[in-house]
Amino acid sequence: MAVATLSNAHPKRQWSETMKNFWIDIALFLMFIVDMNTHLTGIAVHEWLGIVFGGALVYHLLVHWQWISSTTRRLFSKLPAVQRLRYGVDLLLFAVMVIVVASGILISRDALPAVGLPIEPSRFWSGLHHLTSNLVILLVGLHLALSWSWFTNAWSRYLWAPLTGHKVGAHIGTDEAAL
Amino acid sequence: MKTITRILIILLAALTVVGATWAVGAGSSDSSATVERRGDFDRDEGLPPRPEGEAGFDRDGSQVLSIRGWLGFLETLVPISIIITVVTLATNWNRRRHAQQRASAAAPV
Repeated sequence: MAVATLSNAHPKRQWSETMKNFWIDIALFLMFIVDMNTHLTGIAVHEWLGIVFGGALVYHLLVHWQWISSTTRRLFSKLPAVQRLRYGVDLLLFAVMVIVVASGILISRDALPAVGLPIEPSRFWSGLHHLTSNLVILLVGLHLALSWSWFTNAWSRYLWAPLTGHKVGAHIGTDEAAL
Repeated sequence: MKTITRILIILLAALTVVGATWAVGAGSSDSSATVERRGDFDRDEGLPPRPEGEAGFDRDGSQVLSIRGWLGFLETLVPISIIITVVTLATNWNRRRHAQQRASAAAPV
């Protein structure tokens, strides 16, 4: 006769890799949306949040390293067209995001002077920051759109299902279709 | 150790992008022109002005709790939503088309 203990009846909930990725991506997206709105945040918050976002971006890449390395290896062999397109968009997004963050640091008015690093802003970096910050919206849109099915599945499983009590049966891949 | 190597690879890639951009900037005639600081965000020469003017900003340029400040989210969210909608519709249409082609090819004559 089996005797179920109370702890067995209510197993401790553990976060899967996909669930962690999902919430990290949500946090990154919210950070991006807030940071893009300088009207609301003001320039000081915009700058500090941009620097934090740069660090979070490195973490995002580390989390998806498996996908990046496997796709890079298969890039010149057989790779589905969608994966190839996603890789191209992500590569361009990385380059543009780096330019946005770097040019933002180079024209900083509050963040770097606050830590004793006065910056002489140039027109080149200032113009580039504004140009690339518009381009990055387009690329983030494409980046999300190409992983939209993964995102909606994860949304249903990790947010909608716990709220409504409905079970979601669809399998969600960890990295192949991750953001 | 593996993580540190990966971080270094990411930073190296980022540095390459910044270096290449710097090289392009050094070649342009306008690159050395510095922006004169006057202590005000919008009056700096060479920076695009804020579209709604300067009224209502806090000392650091923010518009906390103003409608314009909150509407600023739409400037980012609307283009992203449009792109996601267009790409998702195109992907679904393409998937359906492929499914129909496969079904018609498999159907007995």
